[in-house]
Amino acid sequence: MSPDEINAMFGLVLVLTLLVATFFIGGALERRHYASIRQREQNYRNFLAINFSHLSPDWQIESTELARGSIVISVDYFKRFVALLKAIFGGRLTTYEPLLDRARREALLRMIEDAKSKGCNAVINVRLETSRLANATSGNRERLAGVEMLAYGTAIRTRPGVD
Amino acid sequence: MRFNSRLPDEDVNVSRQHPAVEAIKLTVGIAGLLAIIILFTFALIEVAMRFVSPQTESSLFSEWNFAELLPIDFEANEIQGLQGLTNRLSRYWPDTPYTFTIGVLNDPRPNALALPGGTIAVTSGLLDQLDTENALAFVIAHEIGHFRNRDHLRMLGRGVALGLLLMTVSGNDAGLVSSGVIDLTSRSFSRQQETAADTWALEIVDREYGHVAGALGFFEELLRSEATSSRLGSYLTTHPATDNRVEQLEELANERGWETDGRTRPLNW
Repeated sequence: MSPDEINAMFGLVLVLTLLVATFFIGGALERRHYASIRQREQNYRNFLAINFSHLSPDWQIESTELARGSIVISVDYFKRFVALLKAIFGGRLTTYEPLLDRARREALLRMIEDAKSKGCNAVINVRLETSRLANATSGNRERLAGVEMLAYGTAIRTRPGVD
Repeated sequence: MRFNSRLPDEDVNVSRQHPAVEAIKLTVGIAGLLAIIILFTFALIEVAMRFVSPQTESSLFSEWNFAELLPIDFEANEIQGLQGLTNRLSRYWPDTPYTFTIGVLNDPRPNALALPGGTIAVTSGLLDQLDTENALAFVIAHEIGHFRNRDHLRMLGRGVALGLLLMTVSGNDAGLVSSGVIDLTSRSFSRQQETAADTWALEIVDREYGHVAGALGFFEELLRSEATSSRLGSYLTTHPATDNRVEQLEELANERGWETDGRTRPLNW
């Protein structure tokens, strides 16, 4: 085999190995993250996090604060590869959907954790913001396919004894 | 106001398609699409080739300096002998539109190439490997056979088409020339094209020497050393030399009544 063929072969083996490895590793990490997300959502299910911007007049607010939770997250090589192929034909980028779903839920959970740590018992006017990291290295073929998801809202502490 | 606390619905925002299934579907789909594009392009090349006469081809490629593109030496010591042999062999294609020029490609792997415009290249490795003029004549006649069937043009077209396609798919615009031209050295002709060139070459060798002895010596040598030398790998991939191929040619010689015994001429220059 000529050096070029060896190079090409090496590249192909590397890509295939990466695809197989990241399929399993990325899949396991995703399942683990989802398990953590579900567990915490269950724990905080009675914590009020809503996107009303106006308070109900019967609420007695003791103090307000800004609560925020953010996450920077990326998909694995395998899912990016599948999305790249899918982008040729178009359609739902099904391998990216769990990434954004995880990002939204994790950001909200972190926002709730932030509010709780500040002694608040609800967050109102919740907003979600996304920024992508993809263009940070544009021009480079190995673009970083990541997003930042930010959840923020007004954390409130109600007077004791008020529901 | 009542606050209904409900856990998020898992199925709304995320497709339940397994990524492996998706990957397989997409890979198969894209491979199929590429195959269709390639077949269609190859069919187009066959049509386009009819509109390119050998005269047009010669004038198109006369500008190409193969000595620069590939390390081909047109002034090697052996050139006189090689060119003389080539001229003698090309006489058997009287109305040839090509003026054949032969050069030595500096490469240790035994191989021979048919390049657009009538240029033939034999590698220095091939010249080292051969001991008889008859075997060399067969190899050169074989390349002339490729010109008769215009395999070289077909391969150039396919090379450029595949290069362009690869460029589009990978988004890498480097090396169009190398994928189209330089890779001619490693792109293989089909079995059918090889058989056609072989048949013509063997007939020419018989007409030139009055027998075909020694003509297949090179293939027999290849077969013998196939197991021991990996240096021969390249010729085997571009010109698959199998037992079957030698057998086929021996059969052909029997069929046509070509003499298989005779005096071979040694190569001396």
